[in-house]
Amino acid sequence: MRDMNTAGTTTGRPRIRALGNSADLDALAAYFEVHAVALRRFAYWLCGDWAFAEDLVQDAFVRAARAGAKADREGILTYCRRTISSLHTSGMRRRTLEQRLLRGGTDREPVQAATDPSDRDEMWRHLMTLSAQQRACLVLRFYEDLTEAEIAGALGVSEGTVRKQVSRGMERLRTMVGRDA
Amino acid sequence: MSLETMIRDAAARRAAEAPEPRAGWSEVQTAIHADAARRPARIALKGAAIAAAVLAVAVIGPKITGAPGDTTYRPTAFTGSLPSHPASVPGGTLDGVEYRLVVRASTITMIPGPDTIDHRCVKMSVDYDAPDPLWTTGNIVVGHVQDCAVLEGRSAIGALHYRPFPHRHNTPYHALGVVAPRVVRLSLMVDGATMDVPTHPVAGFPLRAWIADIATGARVTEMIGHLDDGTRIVVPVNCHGEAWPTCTNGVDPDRTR
Repeated sequence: MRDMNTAGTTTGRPRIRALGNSADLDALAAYFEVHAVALRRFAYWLCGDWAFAEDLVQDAFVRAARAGAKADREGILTYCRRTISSLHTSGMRRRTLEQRLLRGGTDREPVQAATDPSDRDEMWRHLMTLSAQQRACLVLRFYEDLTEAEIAGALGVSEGTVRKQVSRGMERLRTMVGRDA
Repeated sequence: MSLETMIRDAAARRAAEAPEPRAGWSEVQTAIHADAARRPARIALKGAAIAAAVLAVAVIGPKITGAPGDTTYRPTAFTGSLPSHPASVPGGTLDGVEYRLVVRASTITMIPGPDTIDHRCVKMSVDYDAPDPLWTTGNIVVGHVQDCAVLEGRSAIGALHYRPFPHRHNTPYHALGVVAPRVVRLSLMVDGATMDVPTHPVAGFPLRAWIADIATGARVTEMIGHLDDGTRIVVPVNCHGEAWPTCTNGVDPDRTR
């Protein structure tokens, strides 16, 4: 998806040519204004934590500025989504280890989904028990209305993987909802 | 209600409850400028890392002793060289201190040498994005160290590393690093007060890790290593010890705004 607006219009959009050029930073700023909210939401579907999601979005824009024309060719929105997905994967490893070190131990402990104990939204709690990729696939498919190809591009996986994750995620949710009923 | 609708509704509720963003474009721009300023160091370090990897595999691979998980510290396994300055061609010294590579199984780390206690903080401008010894084993560890304080000649390494972008959080952020196996406790002098920091063994790595909460803008002036035999070594920390946004990696963010 070549982007500046969500409709996919590419004509007249600012282009990112080189890092450090103020005009290009202005162009990137324009992308930020347009897409920051959607990207933050995308990051949230992955990590379930608004603060971490914000970090991921900002890191993604730093990477986009570093990549310059490469990111522009791919489309800033697509590039940022893919970067967020990849940063989330590596970031979670870091956060898990940091948490472990903060607890003063070295034993590996299972990663718990970031759930809010006061949360009464049952379906969201079920979604949070899925893997980040499964959750993202489901929400992007049914809430953001992205196509399988767009989801695949955003998460850096194949369309087949997206189909599989949606199907398995739905199956798990059905089981959980059925168990609660 | 179909499952799809339930997912859509749950996501919509979450999206509607999203808190206001804590930072905007100006913070991103600051981070972009800081990232650009680190670019020469990043390029130089990547070069050094590749050279070290090639050297390790081709020249000293067969001489490596010890298996992954071996925590015995044998600093004389290999002597090599590291860049004298990130922006210059590889050399053997940094601020007058000779550096060598220590190879252990598939891990390379660097320690200062020779056997002298150097009470200066060695300034090293390196990349945040490089592999981090705390969560990386089996990789080359040259890019992590933000500030390397020489604690005990060739048998010690101290590192002070701040996570970037702490200004985006209201909470104190973490300084973390690694020290030699013999450093059982570390004290940091933060804004004139001593902060005791325990160190923990890192499985599969011949170093001990530490982590501490440092408030944004606080200044770390000393690292004090407490060795297992009771020896206490005081190491001054240079300006790189200041937490963001005062000074990070030699870049003053005020100048980039």
